[in-house]
Amino acid sequence: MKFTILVLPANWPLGAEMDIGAQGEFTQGASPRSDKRPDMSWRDHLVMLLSFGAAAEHCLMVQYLYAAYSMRTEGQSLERVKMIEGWRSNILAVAREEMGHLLTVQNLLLLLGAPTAFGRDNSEWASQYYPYPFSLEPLSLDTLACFVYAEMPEIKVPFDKSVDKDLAGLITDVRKRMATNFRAGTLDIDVHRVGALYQQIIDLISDENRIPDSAFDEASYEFQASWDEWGRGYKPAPYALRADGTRIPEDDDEIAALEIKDSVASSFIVRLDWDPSEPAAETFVRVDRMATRADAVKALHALANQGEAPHLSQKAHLKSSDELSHFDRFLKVYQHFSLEKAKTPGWSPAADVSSNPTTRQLRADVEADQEFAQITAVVAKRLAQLFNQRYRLLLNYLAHSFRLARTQRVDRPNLRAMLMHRVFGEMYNLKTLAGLLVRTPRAAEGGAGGSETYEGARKWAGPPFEMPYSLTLPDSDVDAWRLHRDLITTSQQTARKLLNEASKPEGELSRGKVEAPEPRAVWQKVRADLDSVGAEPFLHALMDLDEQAKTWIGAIVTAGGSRGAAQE
Amino acid sequence: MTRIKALRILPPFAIGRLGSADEPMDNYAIEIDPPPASAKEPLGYRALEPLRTLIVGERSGEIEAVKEPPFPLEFKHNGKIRPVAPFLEVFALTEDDELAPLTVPLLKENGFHVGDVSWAVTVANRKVARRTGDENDVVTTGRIENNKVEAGEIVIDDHDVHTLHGYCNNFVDRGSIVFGEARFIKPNESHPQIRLRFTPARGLIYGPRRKPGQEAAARLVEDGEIVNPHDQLFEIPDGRDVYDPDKGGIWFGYNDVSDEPASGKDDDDNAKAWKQRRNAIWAANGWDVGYDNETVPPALFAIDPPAPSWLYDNVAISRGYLDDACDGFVEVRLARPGEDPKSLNATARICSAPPAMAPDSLFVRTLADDLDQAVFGPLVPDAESTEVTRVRAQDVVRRAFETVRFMNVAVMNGNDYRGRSALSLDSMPEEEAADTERAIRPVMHPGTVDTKAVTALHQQAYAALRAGTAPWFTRILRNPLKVADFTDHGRRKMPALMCGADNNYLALTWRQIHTIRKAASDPPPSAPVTSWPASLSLSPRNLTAHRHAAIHYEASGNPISSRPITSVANCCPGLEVDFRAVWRRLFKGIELREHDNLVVRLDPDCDAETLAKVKGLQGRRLLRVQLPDGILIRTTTPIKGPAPSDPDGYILLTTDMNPHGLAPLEWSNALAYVLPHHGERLRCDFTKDAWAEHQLPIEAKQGEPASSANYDSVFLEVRPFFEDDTAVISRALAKAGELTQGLCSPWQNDYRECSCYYWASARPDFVNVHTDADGLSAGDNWFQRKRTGSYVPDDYADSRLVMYDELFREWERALKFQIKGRDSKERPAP
Repeated sequence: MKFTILVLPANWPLGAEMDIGAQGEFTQGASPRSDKRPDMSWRDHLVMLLSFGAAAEHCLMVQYLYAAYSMRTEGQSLERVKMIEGWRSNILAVAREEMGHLLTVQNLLLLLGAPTAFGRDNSEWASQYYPYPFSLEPLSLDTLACFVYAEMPEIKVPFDKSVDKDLAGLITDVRKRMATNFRAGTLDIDVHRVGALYQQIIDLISDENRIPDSAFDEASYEFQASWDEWGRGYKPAPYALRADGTRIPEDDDEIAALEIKDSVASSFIVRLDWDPSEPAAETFVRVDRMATRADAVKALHALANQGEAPHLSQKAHLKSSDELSHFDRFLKVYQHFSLEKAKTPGWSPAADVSSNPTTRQLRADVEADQEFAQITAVVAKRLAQLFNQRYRLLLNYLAHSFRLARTQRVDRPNLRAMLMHRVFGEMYNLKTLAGLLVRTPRAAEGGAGGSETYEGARKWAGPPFEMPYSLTLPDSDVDAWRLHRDLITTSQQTARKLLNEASKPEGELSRGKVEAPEPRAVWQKVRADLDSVGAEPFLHALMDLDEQAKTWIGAIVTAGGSRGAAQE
Repeated sequence: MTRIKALRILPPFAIGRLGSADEPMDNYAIEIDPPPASAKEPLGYRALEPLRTLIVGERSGEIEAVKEPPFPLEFKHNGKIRPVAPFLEVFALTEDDELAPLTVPLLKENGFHVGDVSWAVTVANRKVARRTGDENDVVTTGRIENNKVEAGEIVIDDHDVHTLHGYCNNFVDRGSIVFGEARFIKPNESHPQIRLRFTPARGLIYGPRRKPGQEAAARLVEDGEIVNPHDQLFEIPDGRDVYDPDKGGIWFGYNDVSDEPASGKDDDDNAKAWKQRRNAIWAANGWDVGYDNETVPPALFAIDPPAPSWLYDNVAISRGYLDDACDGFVEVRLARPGEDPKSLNATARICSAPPAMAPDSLFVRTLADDLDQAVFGPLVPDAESTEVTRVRAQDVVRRAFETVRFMNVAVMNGNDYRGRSALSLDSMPEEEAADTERAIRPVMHPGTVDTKAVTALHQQAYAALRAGTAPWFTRILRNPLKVADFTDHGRRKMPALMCGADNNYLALTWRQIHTIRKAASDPPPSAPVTSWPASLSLSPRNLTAHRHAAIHYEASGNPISSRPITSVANCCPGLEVDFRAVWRRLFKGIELREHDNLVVRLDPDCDAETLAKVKGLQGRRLLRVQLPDGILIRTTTPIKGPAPSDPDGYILLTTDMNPHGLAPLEWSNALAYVLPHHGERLRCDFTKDAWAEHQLPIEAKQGEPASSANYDSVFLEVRPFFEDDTAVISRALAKAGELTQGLCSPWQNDYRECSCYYWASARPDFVNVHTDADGLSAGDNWFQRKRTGSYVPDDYADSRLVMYDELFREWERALKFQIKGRDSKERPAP
């Protein structure tokens, strides 16, 4: 299927919202959210929008990850296995790119002399800037519709006649789904698009009267996160140049041709035997640094385009199959998913994974504004606790690495970079724990748990991505290190607890306040659940790594914290 | 009755490890299996496990006792390194096509007795001959007849110790090198199997004969005082000054004169005479007089100081040293009196190598990986179970972190070191800069390359795999076809910072890569796997499985360091063997240079038709090979680098020496897809030009006549890699001495000169690593004389480091075994 470029009308009102009428028709409206509060400065308003933008990116990223982790290939035909793997690759590619967006926004905050923002703000104030209410859902057409809509570019309605009919049909379908889920349901929430938020930010930051030059701290450039450190190689491969600096067109790139066409291993170059007609899962993690207003505007445009620009193949310097926008990718997956469902009603690429799993004890007398699935099975609960602990460690390491930027030399190994490695290490942990959780029963025997009623109790748990009570690091650097060590110790205790519960009849359950009528049966179930997902080797490896980490941190704490860091 | 149909020797390839202690090393293993699920420290060092050790009676030649564990493992005795002396066991292929140990009872059952068994050992050292091109420089077992060396075997038909003397036409009369010993172990009731023991040499250095009146060695003196005792040149002891320059050999004083082969006005009479002899050798070999016969890396030999040569205008004049390393064959024969001695026989290969100095760590790509690729091919069949694939993928990652933790990653990354330019230190980025004549650039961001941090990240990935997570990092594995991609996009692929056999960045074998690919795309295993599957059977009924099992075979009493799994594979030039050598004669009729695609000789070991075809190919370059399905295998890859003014672009890196910007590819991966076609004739494209110094591109345009292309096509037959239905590397591919000929002479010189990025876990760099007060990695350079905890970077001149002659004199004292990443505790020498 080919898509035609959607035409952006030149006079399209900035920040205008697309509302959906009761019949699913589209109307255009003005966004109330472009107005600044009278008790805030424009710079402050800008920082607020950026902070909410960061939070929105963070929210989207974890939702994309959740959907990707929920997917399963067991029991699928070979053809569908390949297809599902392709979808997963694309969704994960988007999630990685969102990480780049998050870092770029942090850099912009630094440029403005503002604090970093790594959290997910659930306040009502922030939520009005989010594309839709945050919810961790396994992959479905509804979930995908949310993803598509979140990344959708501005669209002229009625559709221009150059717009492909199938494309228009898909977009209409997506919007109808959104309307059904968010208007006809119990909640009455406007839906927003990330692009609209970024357009507001771009407009504001481009305005010299509202944001003067003095608002930008160009000295922050060297302390900003760079692609060189954080990009992990996720960018398009270099293009060929002649000795005189002119580009060699792709088709004439003899060097590339030599490498691909003459090679028996060409299937290696195209990863996982991709059908080139499928959306490629190449990823470009943009982490842009900015020293000036122009840098900032350019970076924001790139960020927005990566999200919503339809069909980036117009860019001459990119291979046509390589860089697809998030919107492109999600829409393509949505399209294919729809076709598969039409062929096989009831078919799903996702396992029976819960929505919004939680480790919290839900109170029956408190009405939640969202439906949660309480994790009650021992193994799932401990793994979910571990997940939350590692998530918190990741965010703390991230914040700490940014804090250390101003005190660490970059031309040699330094603690900031070591913390960055820890961030990626925690990502591997989260990936692993998520993989275990989506195959671990959520509920203890005899109870579904949770307040979910809309689709009945689901079998498997899922990574809860629950935020801690605070992401604020202690003021003192050495205390920040102590916090990391404390969290690592707690994580070790959780892992050890689980191993103990799986090994002794007289485990935590029988000693604790919960009465277990048959302790042996309980620990046997725990052992069985643990073995069925094979978590034990990982737990031991994790504890081994944590011991090493504690030794490392111990040396730093003994020395009084990061050398060169401001001592409090 | 169990009838003996044929014989086999296992293992088919055994490595002896040099050392001068009288008592050979005890048997030991390291844990190869993945750690069990319940292992408490799965990321730690592999446990060294003493195993039952066979004690051979000195007089009787029998296995008189068995030393049972537990016992402490001591790699040195009284300051001397204990050699690894492997046993080679004989098996009978029985009439039901199974292998059974050849024992005394089985012999009797077949009407034989022990006296009908004999052995023949043929080993050689061709290191000097490789450089000089002079067959008279081959040091080989054999005999001297009419003052000429006849290469040959040493026949052993008793149970005495047989010294393996190596003779050479250019040695003094009665001069020889002792390559070690071989002994036919006398079977007894407790140990009835037929076996041979190979004890390697002591790691001695031999050299040129001193002329009367000649000083023992030049000393670096000023005002009568030795400037630095450590700089005192090594003296070749009496009895080891065996090389006689007066016999016409050019090894003493050998240097590369390919740029000026003709004598100039500055040449004295000696130099003129030397060049004449050299040119005569070149002519006898059919080489152009300007042909550069050097190895890659060049000048892998002890040179007159100052050294290393690249710091001193690349002047490398050989001191004429040789060592006592060797490689070759052992053959067992079973014949009754009067019968053809070879009626029942079997062969195995042996080599002797430096000790495994970090015995509890394995390199990321070993000789076993390359041999497995030769056995199984580069691909992994879909039919292989997910469980097996996942375990093998985990193993690769484990070996990756075992390798990186021995590297000072910041230095290897090309970082400046405490203000000192990275150009003054040895690393892959520095090599790359020198070869491409471009500015040096660190590979990774300079701030991100702390050793412990990078190691921990690798371990984190390993932890994830142990949980059954599919590998997600296929895209960061280096493509073996892109090893000369020196953009950051290319250089940051994995394995990082290390050198491959082609002197470009290291790639894993295709089979290793496809293992990880398959593990990434397979559905999850039905149960997470943390242990190897049951060992593959030795049964010859499945030849592939048999070969794999044979290569990994654990003979009784053989430490793991005698097996290919402990030998590095990225041979440039290698440590145990130069595995590049094995590919040279893969195509019948020609001999390629081990490090690139030049046809250095024609190989007469072929039929007349082939000889006629290959006539004229000497000096030409093999550009590519076409498989029957049309796929083209190239032998070179473009050298790409970042465009100076456009960070998103790349350019071809050309130099005056390399105007087309092409780098040769290492053979093991490049020809992996050719091997399965043994016995078939494949189209091989050779340059029309001969003796081109640099690589040439393929020039042929679509639609234009074939005659306008710059190459000719010749169909050549591919040799089999293994002998018949055994796991022995074919004799036709490598004669005795050829598997080690590309290695350094003496090998001790290589330990000084080759930095760890060639072979990190075999030649460590960063040892005693710990976290310092800054939270960063600190430790010692393995070559530091004094362990201070403050790493001394190697600029090849720092007196705090062990230097050449100290190593030549006292290598056993200077080299410290590493256990768990730290200097092992040794009992001091008396």
